[in-house]
Amino acid sequence: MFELDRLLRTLVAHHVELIVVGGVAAALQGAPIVTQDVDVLYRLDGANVDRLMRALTELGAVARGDPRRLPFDESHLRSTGHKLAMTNAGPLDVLGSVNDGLLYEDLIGSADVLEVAGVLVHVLSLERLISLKRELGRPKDLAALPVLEATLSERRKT
Amino acid sequence: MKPSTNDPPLVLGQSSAEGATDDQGVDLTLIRQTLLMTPTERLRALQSYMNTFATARVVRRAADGGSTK
Repeated sequence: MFELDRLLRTLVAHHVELIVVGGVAAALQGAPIVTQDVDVLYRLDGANVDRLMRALTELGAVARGDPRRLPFDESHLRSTGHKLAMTNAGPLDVLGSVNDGLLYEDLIGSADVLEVAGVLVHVLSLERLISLKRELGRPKDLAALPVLEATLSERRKT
Repeated sequence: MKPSTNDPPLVLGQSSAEGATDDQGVDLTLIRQTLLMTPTERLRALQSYMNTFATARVVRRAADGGSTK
């Protein structure tokens, strides 16, 4: 079962500095899209990695697709790579960077603070999501652009 | 919301989709509906869709005799 609210609340309860990006960010910003996992870009500093590690432990996170069901260790989480996890609240991708090496610090200024399920979370703005997807230029990213751009256009009218 | 007797009737043969899409074919009615929701409501709607798809995958897998395809 997916429990996105519990997943976000757990990360916030552990004071993990993060930005919700990807499909869930688009959905929270009002785009009527469906995704299969939660993507978060986290700050790579040591104390934040410790907090993330505690949150992932509480969520029972293991490497997704790995039959050994191994948890992530500190060295994994200190890397800029994408860590694809399965948690007891659903799939969670924890990203040390996005696109061509963009870090938390590069994108926090483009995030909105939204109240979601009783907690405040940083969610990447629709404008920045669109620009990142355009830069990535992969078919799946380009396919999402019409809906994201139409959502932005409709939002500007209100 | 229940229709009111004061609402104009839908006329058969008249498309309710006129003006409902943009020039890329995106359904604007769904976007407008989603924008009326709070972020929490959007999250819960997404969660509901994700759980529905996950359940459908499990049912499909069982119907296929346990195949992971």
